[in-house]
Amino acid sequence: MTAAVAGLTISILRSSTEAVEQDQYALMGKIIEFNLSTAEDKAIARAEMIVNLPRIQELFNRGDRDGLAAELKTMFEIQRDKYGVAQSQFHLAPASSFLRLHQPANFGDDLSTSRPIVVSVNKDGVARKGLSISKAGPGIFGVVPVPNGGAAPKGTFEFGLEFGAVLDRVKTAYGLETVLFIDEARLKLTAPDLGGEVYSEKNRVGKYIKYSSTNWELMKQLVNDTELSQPGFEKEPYQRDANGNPYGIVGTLLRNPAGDVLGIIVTAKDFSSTRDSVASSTIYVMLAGAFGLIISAGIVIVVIRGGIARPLASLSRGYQDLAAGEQGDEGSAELDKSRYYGQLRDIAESYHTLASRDRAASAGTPR
Amino acid sequence: MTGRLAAVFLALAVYFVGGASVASADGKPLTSIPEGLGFPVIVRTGVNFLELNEVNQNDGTFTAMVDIRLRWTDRRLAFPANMNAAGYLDYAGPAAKAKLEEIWSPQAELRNLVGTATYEKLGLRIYPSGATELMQRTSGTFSTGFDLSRFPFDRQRLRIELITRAESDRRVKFDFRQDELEFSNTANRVESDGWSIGQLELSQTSYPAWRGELNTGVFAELLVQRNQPSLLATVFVPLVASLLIPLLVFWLNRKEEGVFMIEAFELTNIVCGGLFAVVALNFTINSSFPGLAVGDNPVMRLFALNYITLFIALGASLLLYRFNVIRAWFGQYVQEEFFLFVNWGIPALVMATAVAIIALAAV
Repeated sequence: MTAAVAGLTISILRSSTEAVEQDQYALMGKIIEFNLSTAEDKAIARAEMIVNLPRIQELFNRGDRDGLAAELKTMFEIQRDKYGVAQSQFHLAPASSFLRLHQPANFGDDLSTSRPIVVSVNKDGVARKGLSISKAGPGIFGVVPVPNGGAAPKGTFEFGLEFGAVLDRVKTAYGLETVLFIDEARLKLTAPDLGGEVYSEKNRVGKYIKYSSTNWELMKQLVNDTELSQPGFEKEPYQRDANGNPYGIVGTLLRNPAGDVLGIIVTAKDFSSTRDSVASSTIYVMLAGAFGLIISAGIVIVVIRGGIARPLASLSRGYQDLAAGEQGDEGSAELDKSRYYGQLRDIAESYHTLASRDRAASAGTPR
Repeated sequence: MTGRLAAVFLALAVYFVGGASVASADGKPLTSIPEGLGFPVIVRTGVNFLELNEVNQNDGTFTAMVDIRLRWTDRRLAFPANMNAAGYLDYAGPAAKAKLEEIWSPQAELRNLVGTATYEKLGLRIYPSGATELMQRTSGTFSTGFDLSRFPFDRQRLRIELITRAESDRRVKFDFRQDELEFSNTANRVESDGWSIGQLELSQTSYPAWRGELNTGVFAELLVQRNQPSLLATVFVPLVASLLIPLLVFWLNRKEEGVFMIEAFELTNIVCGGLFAVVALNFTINSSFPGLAVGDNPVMRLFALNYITLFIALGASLLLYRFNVIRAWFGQYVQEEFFLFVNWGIPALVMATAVAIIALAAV
């Protein structure tokens, strides 16, 4: 019974911990999604501010590329250096690059296949936000049409935030380690000029390129290409040890506004506290179970056997001898009343009284 | 000729940058905090352990040689990229120290350095954008906390505490990114006897300053796992063996016709001998590992178990053998069964507890 209770307690402990960890996995995913969503809001808010400046509208609608570059150069440098804004670009409808503030000399290329979000905004004039891969790499974008004095917009403007800055903030705020994997084929298609620093063997994990990480030394122990290539990887969180600590790992798919998968963010959280708690609780429950088992056995042995069974057996033998007239002169030595306690001692005393009477009666009867 | 021109050019560049160090365009001295990128000034901080010479848990210290890399941007120090063939201005040793007198730096200090450094070397690089990199190599003894609650299966964090007291964290913030983590780990070839070296972890911290403000700091913690199997023989075997001494009180006695055959005083002598043995062992371990004498750890728990077992054995000697309390209260049968039970029950309980204590530390 004790062992069963201990086993049940351990089972309940483990299932409770698993439930807590499942909640943690869900929370980790939501933290990533929330921060990406917040970054998208920041990107689109910045873009809205810029395109609503009359001077910017005037320069863009006039097609003054150099004027725009000069006007926004300082703004972009501050955004880049202080706030993790990696990209900023004007586009002409339907989808060609007009001015990249991060690469002013690089413009005029067609974006219609690589940037569906730009195509969409230019098509219907509705601002959009989302994840995308541009020529300068993956980013979190907000794309807005540039007003044209009531006429149809001539193009759009966007801000693109770095994933790295967002993931760094997640680490600082929540203690989560992350790594951003981008589909290499998609990345090469849109951003072939990123160079060997990105397209290197040390960054290649299966079909993905490790693009950014808050702690790659740790994360590369927690996720490998086999896991990443599993269908439904993002739906099946798992646990793995690294550096002697258990980590819970969960994946978050990154999709562009068209729904295509661009990559995946893998998030890891140290589960030492819950795992240690379960391990120590299990040991305590097992110890308590052992104590319960041994003490129960002791109670059975001492109380039942020592206090009831053996005394009753000896009394029974004594009375049987007495009934058979086979008791000794001093009564059965086995029925010494010091061997009993409580009411059994009274019964032993009665035995001796009866034995004395029997002896006296026997002494008065001629043989 | 070309080389001479380059040298003159370099000298002019150094003079230009050096001359500019007196004051920046806004009239503020270059030793004032850079305001170009707003506050706080982000100082990317990396720490790399080059050597780990000694880990002394008794003193709560370790001796190591570490490289500290601090990177920040001070646009006032920017210079045309073509002014220098190397692509940066490089200062080492006394020149770096002199240059640091002329420009702003975070004035980072090693908060837990015990005494003074036994070796120190500075290196400073300034890049055309104003990006500045300060390298500092330091050898010395550092104080650190040791958590012995899982001794000898413990893992420790050998911590370097880097802080700046010059500015509050609203104005200067130590931070790190993947680049700093790589700097802190990839060159890590540290070895130390009795310890397995793990990763180095960086974490931000802060310390109270004046008027409710905080000073920024970074913890660099080298994870080390104790790898000293000999401690199992020298500490745990004696501790578990000493648990057997009081159990002899139960195992050595015997009864005939309900009477204990060994005199109580003889068995009490065993308890006294066991007590002296445990006290001596306690003294020895406390001398060798003073850190274990305070706090909750498996060694102290096993000592507590030893004392409790001795107390139980002493109680049995006096109450069970000397005064026959069980027999007097409950009769001979109960005493006989009780004696049979404690012969295996007490040892089983004691050993189960000992195993649990060790298992709690090992998991």
